[in-house]
Amino acid sequence: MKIKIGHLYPDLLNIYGDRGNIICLKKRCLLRNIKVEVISVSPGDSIKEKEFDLFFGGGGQDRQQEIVANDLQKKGGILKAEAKRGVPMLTICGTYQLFGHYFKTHDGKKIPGISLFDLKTIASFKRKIGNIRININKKAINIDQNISKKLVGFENHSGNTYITNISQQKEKNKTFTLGKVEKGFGNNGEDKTEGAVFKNVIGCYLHGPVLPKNPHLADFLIKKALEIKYGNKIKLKELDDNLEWLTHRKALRFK
Amino acid sequence: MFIRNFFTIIIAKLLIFFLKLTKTGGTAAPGLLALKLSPNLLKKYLSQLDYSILISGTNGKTTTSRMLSNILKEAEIKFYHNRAGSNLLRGILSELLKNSNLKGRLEKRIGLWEIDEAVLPQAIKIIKPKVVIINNLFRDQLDRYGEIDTLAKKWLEALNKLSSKTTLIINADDPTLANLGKKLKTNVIFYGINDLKIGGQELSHASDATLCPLCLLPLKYQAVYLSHLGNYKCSSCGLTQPQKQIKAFNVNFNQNSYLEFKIVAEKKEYFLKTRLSGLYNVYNFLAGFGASLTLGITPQISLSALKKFQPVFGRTEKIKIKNKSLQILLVKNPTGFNEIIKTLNLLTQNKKGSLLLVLNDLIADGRDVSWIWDVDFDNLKTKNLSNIYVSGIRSADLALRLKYSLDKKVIIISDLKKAIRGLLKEKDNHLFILPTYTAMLKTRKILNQMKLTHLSWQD
Repeated sequence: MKIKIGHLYPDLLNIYGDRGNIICLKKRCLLRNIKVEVISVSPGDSIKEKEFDLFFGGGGQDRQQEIVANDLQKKGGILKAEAKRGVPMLTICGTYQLFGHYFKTHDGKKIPGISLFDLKTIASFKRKIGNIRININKKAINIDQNISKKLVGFENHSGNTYITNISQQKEKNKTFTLGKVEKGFGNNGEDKTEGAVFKNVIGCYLHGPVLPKNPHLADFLIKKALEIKYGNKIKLKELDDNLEWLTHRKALRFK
Repeated sequence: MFIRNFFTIIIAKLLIFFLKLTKTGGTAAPGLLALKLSPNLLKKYLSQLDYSILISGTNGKTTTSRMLSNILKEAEIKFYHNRAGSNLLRGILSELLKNSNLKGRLEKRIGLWEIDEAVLPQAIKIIKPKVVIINNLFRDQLDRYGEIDTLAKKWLEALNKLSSKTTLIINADDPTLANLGKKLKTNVIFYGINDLKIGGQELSHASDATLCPLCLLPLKYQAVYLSHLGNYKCSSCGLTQPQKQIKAFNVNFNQNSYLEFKIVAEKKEYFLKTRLSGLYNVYNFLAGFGASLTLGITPQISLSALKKFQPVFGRTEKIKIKNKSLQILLVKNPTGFNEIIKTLNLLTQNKKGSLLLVLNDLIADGRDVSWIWDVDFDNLKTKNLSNIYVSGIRSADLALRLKYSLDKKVIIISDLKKAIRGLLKEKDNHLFILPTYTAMLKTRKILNQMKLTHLSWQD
């Protein structure tokens, strides 16, 4: 088996150690004899339907994010079609925000996103920084919760993200919250929600990087990528995750 | 106001005395207290000084300020220096409180201040320095100050409010800083390395400002010396490096892996044989040398001080323990860590060693430990490393990071004291500790307790 990962704008969006997520996905596949190819998707590159089995996009600084926002408009159509087909994606911070309708800056300018998620983000003057812990919303996403029902990470954002109320969402496929904040700020520091889910696309503010110490989330992405690609149920081989879960458990106790 | 300052000084001095008596480390505490009690005291002190020198930037503040401190001593200039560790305003105030009389009078007339990059705008406003050195700008502790661009913008605003009497000493090999220097209204002296042979071609993963600050397209590097520092230009908009007034070239490492290089400044050529390793130290030397020229100190005096300069605690210094040597190398961000890995590979090239890595996540270390994933641990050569220990508050995170890059299993001992004991029991003659900032302070304390060092807080 083989999966092909599209890494969105790695030259522009690469802060907070988010490349650790790619390192993690690669390693967890290779340990199971699943071949992996990671391809950088940069401004100007075109992407095709069924070209990639999984997408990842991280966070960046403001000026880099603006370049991405422009280019993403050209890729939005394909990304949305792929999302509807069930292709898993993990988007963090900057990419997460640009997968919504728009990002409204301090001076009121709206930087358009691709509206894959039914949400908007508004700049705030309060930077939300610290360890974060959430309870996974099991209605939204089928992450294996045998070992842990939580996700852990570190957040660092000033944007406030608001998901459109479920009852007002027009899409057939809805945008759900990824989880409920147990410790930290989450989407906006107000409604205790964190992250968003649309089919198998996940958006969140969890750095850390998020995947190494949340192996259940990493495996969810790999499993879905294989299932969509090969069209049948997949059971992933278990790995020795003692160190991963130790780190996860320790993070559950962080202040 | 006078009465208030008087009482503040008394209370602060009592606190300093108490801290010294109990050997507690909080050297910034008196300054913090005094800032609260008498907000104008710092200004009152500063007005007595003839001038101040500020040193800021992500990497090399401590080393550069100590180089300059040695130069000033060699030139027999008396000065105050916040060398005890705190590079916030409270650290400066602590230093001045310690040295003033009860009326708030100071004897010396010059201040040498190491300043945290996030505090620099505020410090510039209050101190109105004569010389400002900015060595580099890396993505260190983004959790504290937000983003690099935001920070650079704040610096520019603060610097442009200074009078034309101030001289800026800026690293021209850092694209963000060079661009900032070009926009300044004050005097600017640019320094940097021009040596294609010692430079690499590849940018590391931790590189930050690799985009052209003007047109935002990727910069072309002729040589990369460290992270994003190098000889660059933009092939799209034509941006080039500013003319360097102080240049290093012919950079070599001698048989002890110490740096040797030539410097050109004011149309004269000098040769500097140092006692430091690590290419990044060339920048520290150039910055210190440049500042000394601006202050009117002769090159001969400066070079004689720099030649004798020894590494700073936690910055590659060695401790002898019977027939073993223990080296402590401070790690605080991906770029610094990548350089330490290169140094470590050199040091263990022909001899066996063991290693202890310590990761903490206190405020001074940066609360966010994500940065360890930007370190190129794949480059660490483990062939001659017998055992690798990890310790500290975030030891599990570090062990997990290493699991992905090393073929070797690591030993996790969260308790630092036990970890250090474990390391010292190793048979190898070459032992290394790589701690983050607060872990370094704790390491120093533990080694003190074991009677292995005689270093006090003042070092």
